[in-house]
Amino acid sequence: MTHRSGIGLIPAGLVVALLGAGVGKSYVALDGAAQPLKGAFNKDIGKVRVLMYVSPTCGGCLRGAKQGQQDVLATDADSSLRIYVVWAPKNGGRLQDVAPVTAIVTDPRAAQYWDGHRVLTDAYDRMLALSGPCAGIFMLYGRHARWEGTAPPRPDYLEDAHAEEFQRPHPQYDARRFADTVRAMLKAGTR
Amino acid sequence: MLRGVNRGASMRGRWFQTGSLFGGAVAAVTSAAASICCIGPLAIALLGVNGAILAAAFKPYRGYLLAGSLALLAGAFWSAYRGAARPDGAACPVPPGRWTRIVLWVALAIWIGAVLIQYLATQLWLKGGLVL
Repeated sequence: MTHRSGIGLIPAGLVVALLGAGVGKSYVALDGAAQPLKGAFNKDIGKVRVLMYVSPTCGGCLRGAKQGQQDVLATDADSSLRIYVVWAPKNGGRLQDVAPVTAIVTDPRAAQYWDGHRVLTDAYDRMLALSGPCAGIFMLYGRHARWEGTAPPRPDYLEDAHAEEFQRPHPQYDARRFADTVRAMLKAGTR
Repeated sequence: MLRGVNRGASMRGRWFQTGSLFGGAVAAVTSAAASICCIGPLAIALLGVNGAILAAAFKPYRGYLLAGSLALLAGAFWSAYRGAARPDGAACPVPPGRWTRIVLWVALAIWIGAVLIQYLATQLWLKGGLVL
């Protein structure tokens, strides 16, 4: 009897495991002015801010976000660090692709957004002259950065997960080097 | 004595054939996955989120994987279809089974698919937006 009920737990466990694997974090769909992100960005002035500009359908972007979670966010618990993950409609990415990938960045300091109106997508593509179909830009904003116009401000530092692949004029993303830069920026602001 | 030598050679040949076939198939599949890791929603649909992340790690090595898998597959084909060179008095070698040959040809088809995907990815996608 005990044996039988134990076997019965296996499918239940599988269902729980499968459901658990698919649960992502919540995200905010940005409006045509990206107001929720702009508001959060300006509210966090005085903090160091990481902005991940990534496509939900690009393996390189997803890998970069995962490395960012593991090598940058999980290694520094500084409460004056904020993270925005902006999922961009690039490389065929659609709204329905966002939910599963929000589980990649699990840090409680992170907020996630879907840029369905391409406010940041078009702005960053123009600002950073991004060629190729993917995003994959990991940006760092200092404590004083302020978002004033319609477009987001130029980042103080950035690395590009596709720099070599698309021959973009940015440093290739290296999560550990990026983490060092984050730490240096955090330390600089506390002196 | 001769039978023992033949049995040893046969076993070695079988291990070589199986190893080449398995290695070639795995390398071809890995290369194909690495090629599609970034091609739009298809990548996520086929590989899943974690699969796409893993495949992206292999992306820089696609060329090496393809070359290595081709060499392994060539070894497996040579082993399976080579002319039966028999020393005098030795028993005929056991021909490879039907399934071995099927898997061999399937692995070759995967390899060709990986090359085609890589070609598409390089020629179309990188130039601005092939989204599958």
